[in-house]
Amino acid sequence: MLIKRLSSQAGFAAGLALLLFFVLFPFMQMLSTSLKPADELFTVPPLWVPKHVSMANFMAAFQHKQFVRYFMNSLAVSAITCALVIIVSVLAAYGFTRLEFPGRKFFLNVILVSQMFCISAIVVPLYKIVGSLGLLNSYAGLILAYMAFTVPVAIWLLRSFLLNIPPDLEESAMMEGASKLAAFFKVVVPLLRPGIGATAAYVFLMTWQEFLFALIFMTKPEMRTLPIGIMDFKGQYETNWGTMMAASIAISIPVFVLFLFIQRQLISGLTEGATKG
Amino acid sequence: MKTRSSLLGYTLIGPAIILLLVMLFIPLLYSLQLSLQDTDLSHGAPKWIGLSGYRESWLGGELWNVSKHSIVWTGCVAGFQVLIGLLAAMMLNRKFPLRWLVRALILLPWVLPGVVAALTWRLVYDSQFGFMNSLIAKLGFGQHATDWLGTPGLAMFAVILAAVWKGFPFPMLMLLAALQSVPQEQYEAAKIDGADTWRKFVYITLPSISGVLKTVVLLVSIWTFNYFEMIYVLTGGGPIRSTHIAPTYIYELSFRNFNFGEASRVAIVSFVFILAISFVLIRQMNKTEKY
Repeated sequence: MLIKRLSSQAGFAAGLALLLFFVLFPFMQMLSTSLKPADELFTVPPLWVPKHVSMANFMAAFQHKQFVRYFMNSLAVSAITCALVIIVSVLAAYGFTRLEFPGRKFFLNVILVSQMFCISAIVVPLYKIVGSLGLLNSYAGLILAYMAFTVPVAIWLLRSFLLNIPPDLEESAMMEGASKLAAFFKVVVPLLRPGIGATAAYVFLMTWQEFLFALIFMTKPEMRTLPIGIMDFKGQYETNWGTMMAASIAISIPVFVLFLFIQRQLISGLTEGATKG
Repeated sequence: MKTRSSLLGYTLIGPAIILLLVMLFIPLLYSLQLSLQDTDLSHGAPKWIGLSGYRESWLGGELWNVSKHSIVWTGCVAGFQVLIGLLAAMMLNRKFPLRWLVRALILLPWVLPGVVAALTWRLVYDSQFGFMNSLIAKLGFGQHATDWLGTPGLAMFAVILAAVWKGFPFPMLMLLAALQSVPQEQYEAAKIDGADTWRKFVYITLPSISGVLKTVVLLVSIWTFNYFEMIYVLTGGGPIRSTHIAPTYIYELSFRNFNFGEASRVAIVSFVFILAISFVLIRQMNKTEKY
């Protein structure tokens, strides 16, 4: 019995170790490459642990002529998208959970179907529509597209948070003479704050790393966002992997930090959204 | 209690609905219209050709190839993501020291920006500087200079592995939450009845998480089908077009060859395909759960 338990423990530990190795393997290469000095970068076979640690790659990444510009573009697009999506989605989620009107079920299904939309099916027409509005190479065009992809999920998430807030609270506020909207802003919004935070984080994570639309909408170098800009380090014939990996780490850190702060609300929002349907 | 107020209701959901209408549904109709035109630049000005464009795309063979790759890609990536996600969730459902740290580490690939993940895997697969070949050498299988992304048979395997790595934490998170809500008494009752681990899994765990499992399969399949940057960065659809999936092919047709009509035909076929998958899976969900 003891032997059986021990061997099952050992099997469990081995499985866990294997999983962790699978997860961390590419990160090992990323970190190791970014910290290598120039003379160790191109040894064959590659060294897993650099002999000398150097920050030169990080310096080079930040000195790249457009890197700061890309960073600001990404930040502007993501932040504005976040704010607009939250406004539009909070209003809609409130309408869907607290009001009754003809067609409510139908429009809720429209939102559900939009979540499952085949994005690649509308790349071409969206490009043409945004182009004919003169919004290529502008923040506005990209933000509109990002809003369309994130609003359905955002409404769905916020709806699941709103369903957890008992309507009695608003009703008692309204009994005391507050209007419906006043009750909403004074009573519901403060309680909804964790949900709003989680949804905003989700939207930010999605837009910060979006690639396809950033690639086709932003053709001018100075309008590129980080995910496209980072391809600059991939030269036509030879890639400077050291700088590229350093830049990769630099653009991942804001996402990691954000995720660290928000993970509990985000995870509970996502899982409740999925389990409640 | 819900208040009846049509005007307020429409005002509140209006912006969202208009946004989706303009940015999703109208483009879809526009795509449909484009797909009925011949826009090949070598044929001169675009002209209306009706459905015959679809027939020629099928006969041309490239659409069939891309569909095959898309199905293999979506099936393998989504399948392994859910499988590994389920195994990982079951491991993390047990109590062990430093569990919070392990969970945080496992979530890293999912949080990592997609293009960063793709670039990192590109380096991992590099024939000279990549850790993949060096890992194989360290494990004692000899020093090779395999070009993982440049060999037609291997490239598909390589991109699938990278995509599984990137996405499996999401099913893991969802399934972990589902596992934690399975009532413990059921396991204790089964233990008294002498059920072994496998039976407990099949008769208790699986039925209790099946709802979440199906939702996860649906979401992950759709995301994988549309997952563009991994293949774009790793192989660009090559070598010899052996890893072209629908999104990369649409991109190449429209923004490299400027053949928007053909791209729209591929787009419409993809749309119908996704719709069919969703339809089947949603029906499955409704069949098992009556609530």
